[in-house]
Amino acid sequence: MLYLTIILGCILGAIVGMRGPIIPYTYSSYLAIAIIAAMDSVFGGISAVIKKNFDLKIFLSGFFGNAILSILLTYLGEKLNVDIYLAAIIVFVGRMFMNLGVIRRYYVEKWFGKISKRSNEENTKN
Amino acid sequence: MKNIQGIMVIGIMCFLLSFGISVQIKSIKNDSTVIAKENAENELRDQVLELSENYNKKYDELEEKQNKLDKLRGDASNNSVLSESWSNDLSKINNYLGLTDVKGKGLIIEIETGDLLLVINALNNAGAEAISINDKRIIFNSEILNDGDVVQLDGIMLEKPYTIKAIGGSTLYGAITMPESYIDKLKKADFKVNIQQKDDIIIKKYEGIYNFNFAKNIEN
Repeated sequence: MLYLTIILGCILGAIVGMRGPIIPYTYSSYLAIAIIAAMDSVFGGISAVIKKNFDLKIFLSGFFGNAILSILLTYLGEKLNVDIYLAAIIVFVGRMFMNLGVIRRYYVEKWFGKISKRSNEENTKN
Repeated sequence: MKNIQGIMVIGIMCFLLSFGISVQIKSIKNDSTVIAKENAENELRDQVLELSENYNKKYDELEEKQNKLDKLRGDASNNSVLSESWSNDLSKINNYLGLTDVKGKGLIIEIETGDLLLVINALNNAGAEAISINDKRIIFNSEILNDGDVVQLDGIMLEKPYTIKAIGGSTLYGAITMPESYIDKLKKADFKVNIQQKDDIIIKKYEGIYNFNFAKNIEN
């Protein structure tokens, strides 16, 4: 269900995006950083769904808040001639890997049929 | 039920995400991103390396051929019946054409900036027999292009400061430094000009190739 929705969303988004507008080059760096922030949020959301502690408010505020904050940081960096967006990318990509690790661990353990035994331990650990 | 809601929202976010990604890809496809710029730069660097290697190879080849030619010329003039006068003529002509390294007394002028054409003109006017800028020999059809701050001699960019060597009689120095001459004006305008008179200046030979395709001798 989760992955079906994700794949469907991605395909639809790609199709609409192909027919969508072209943004000017000046703004493409902002869009790029927003994309990284959104990716971070999506992976965070997936891992939250897996961990069953998904909170819509936190998710949405994270999605838009992170994107806007990173865009602002990029803008500030451009004005100061410092590549601040690199810091945002490092944080986001680091978190992405963390969340991917959570997802991976979940499926590896599920695959080996240990999830039911471990779930109690996992819940206390996390 | 809460989970379903979350899944839906994640689906919508994925939609937005892939929408953004495809817009971004489309927008920068033909444009130069940082990465594309770096790639282009690397490609250019590769090209420079390749070209310089090619150049060095060709230069070596040219040198080899020139040595061969020199040898052949020497042989030809040695074998000839009229050898003595022929070889003299030949070396004289080569000297005129700038095809031999020459040595003699003259001037070394170092200037930071300025119109090289005027300097060369003044030197020629004063009877210089051989002139080089940054060890590039000036020959009879040498061209000097002033393109803003970049000066090209026969298509080769010259680096600052310019070192002009000229071989000629003792009139050279006076002619170059006389009041109201170009060098004098440069000096007065507080540009760095350094002129040395020396007795043993070596000027290297012209390293290009003469190409005469249209001017033919008229046979009598």
